[in-house]
Amino acid sequence: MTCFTISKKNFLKLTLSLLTAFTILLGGIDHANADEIPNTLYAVSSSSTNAFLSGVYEKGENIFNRPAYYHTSTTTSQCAYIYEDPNNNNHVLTWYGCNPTPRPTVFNHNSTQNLFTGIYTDNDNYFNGETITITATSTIYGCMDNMAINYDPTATIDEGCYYVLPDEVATSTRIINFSYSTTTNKVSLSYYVATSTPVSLYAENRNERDGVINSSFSTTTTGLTTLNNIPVTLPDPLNGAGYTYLTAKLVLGSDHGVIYDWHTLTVDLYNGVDLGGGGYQQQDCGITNLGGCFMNGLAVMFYPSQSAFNNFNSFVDLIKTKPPVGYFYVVKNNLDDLNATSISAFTVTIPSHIKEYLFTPFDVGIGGILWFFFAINFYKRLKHITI
Amino acid sequence: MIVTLFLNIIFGVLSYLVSLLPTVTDGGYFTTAITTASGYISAVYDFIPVITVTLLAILTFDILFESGYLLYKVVYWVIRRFPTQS
Repeated sequence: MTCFTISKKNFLKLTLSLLTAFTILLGGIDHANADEIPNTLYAVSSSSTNAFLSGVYEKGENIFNRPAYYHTSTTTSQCAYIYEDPNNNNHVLTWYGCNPTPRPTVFNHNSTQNLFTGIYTDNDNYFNGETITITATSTIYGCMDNMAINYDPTATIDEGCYYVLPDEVATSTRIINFSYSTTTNKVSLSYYVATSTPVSLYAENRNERDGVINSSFSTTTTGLTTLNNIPVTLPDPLNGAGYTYLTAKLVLGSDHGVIYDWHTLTVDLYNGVDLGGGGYQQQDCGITNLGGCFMNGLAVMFYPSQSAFNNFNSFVDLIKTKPPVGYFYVVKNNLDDLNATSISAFTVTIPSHIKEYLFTPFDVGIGGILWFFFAINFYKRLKHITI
Repeated sequence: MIVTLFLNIIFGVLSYLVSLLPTVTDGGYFTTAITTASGYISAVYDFIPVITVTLLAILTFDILFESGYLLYKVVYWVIRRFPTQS
C-alpha cells in the first residue's frame, strides 16, 4: 500500500502556494468587476470641454476612480476626490497624484439645492476651462420627522425634533421650546405669536453677565416660528457659578416690560477647561432663615474662591509647558495642527492595464499573505502571554 | 477662606517648583515629520493600498497590544510590592 506523507515544511509551502494562487485569483475577480457602472457618481454627459457628473458620494471618496465613465481622455481624472473642509463646511474637490499639476479648486456647496459647482481650469491641453457640475447629497443635520415643527426636508441625519405637545397647543403668544447645546454654544427655540402686534424675543443671562444670545429679535410674524442654532455670546471669562442661566423672553415690541412668556434654561458650563469657580448660590439670610445665614458663613469659610480656581488653572497651564507633561502636549498640539489630507511626496504614473493586471492582484495577494503571517505570529505571541 | 488659603499656598508652591523646570519646545518638527511621512505613505498608497493599510494596521495593533501588556505587567509588578496579610 502506498502511503502518502508530507512533511510539516512542505505542508507550509503548499499552503502558502495555495493561498497566493487564491488571492491572485481574487484580484482577477475584482478586475473582472471593474467595468461595473459606479453606483455613487457617474457622468451624465460629457464633451471635449465639459463633463457633468451626478450622484451620491461619501466624504473622502475617490469619485474619479472609474475614468471610463468620467471623461474622454487622460488618466489625470483618476486622482480627484471630494472632502469636507471641517473649518468652513465647504466641499472641496481636490486632486492628488496628478501629473502635471494644475489642481485643486474649491467647489462651493449650495445647501438648498445640494449642488456643488465650481470651475476647474487646467493649464495643460486637456480640460481647458472645464466646468464640472456635481450634484451630490451631503450630510445635513436637522429634524427628519415631517410631523415636527422644525422639520427640515433636506436633512439627511436626524438631529432632534420639536413637537407641540397636546397640552401645549399654541393658541397664545408663548415660547414652546428652548434648548441649549453646550458643545456648540448655540440655542434653538421656537415660539408662537398669536397677535399681529410686534413682539420682541430676546434672551439674556439671568445673572446679568452679558450672556445676551439674541438681543432685540423683533418679528411681526403671526404663527409659529422656529429658530435653530442661534450662536450664544458667553461671558468671557466665565465667573461665578459653574453654571449659568439663559432666559428667553417674549415681550411686546413697543414695551419690553410687557412679557408674554419667558423660559429659563439652566446651562451647565462646567467642564475640564473652565472650572468657573464658586458655584455656591448664596442663600437668603434673615431672621426667618437663620439656616441660610449659617450656610453662607460656612461657604465663606470653606468654599474655594475664584482666586483658588484661577491659581489652579494657571498651574495647569504651566505644567502643560514643562516636562514630563509638556512632552505629551507637544505631541498633542502637533497632532492638532495636522489636517486630514496629505500631499503625496511623489507620484508614479502607472498605465491602467498594468495596474489592473499586475499591481492590483499583487497588492491583494501580498496583503492577504501578510494578514496570514500576522495571524500565525500573533497566535505564537499569545501562547507566550502569562497572566 | 480656609480652603482658599490652603489651595493658594499649595498651588503657589507647586507652581514655583514646576517653573524651575525648563520649558518644552519643539519648533514644529514633529508636525513636519508626520507630514513628510504621510506624504510618502500617501504616495505608496496610490498604487498598493491593501499592503499599505495592512502594514499600518498590523504595526498599530502590535504597538497597542505590546504597550497594553507592558502596562499590565508593570501594574502587577507594583501591586506585588505591597505586603499582604495571610
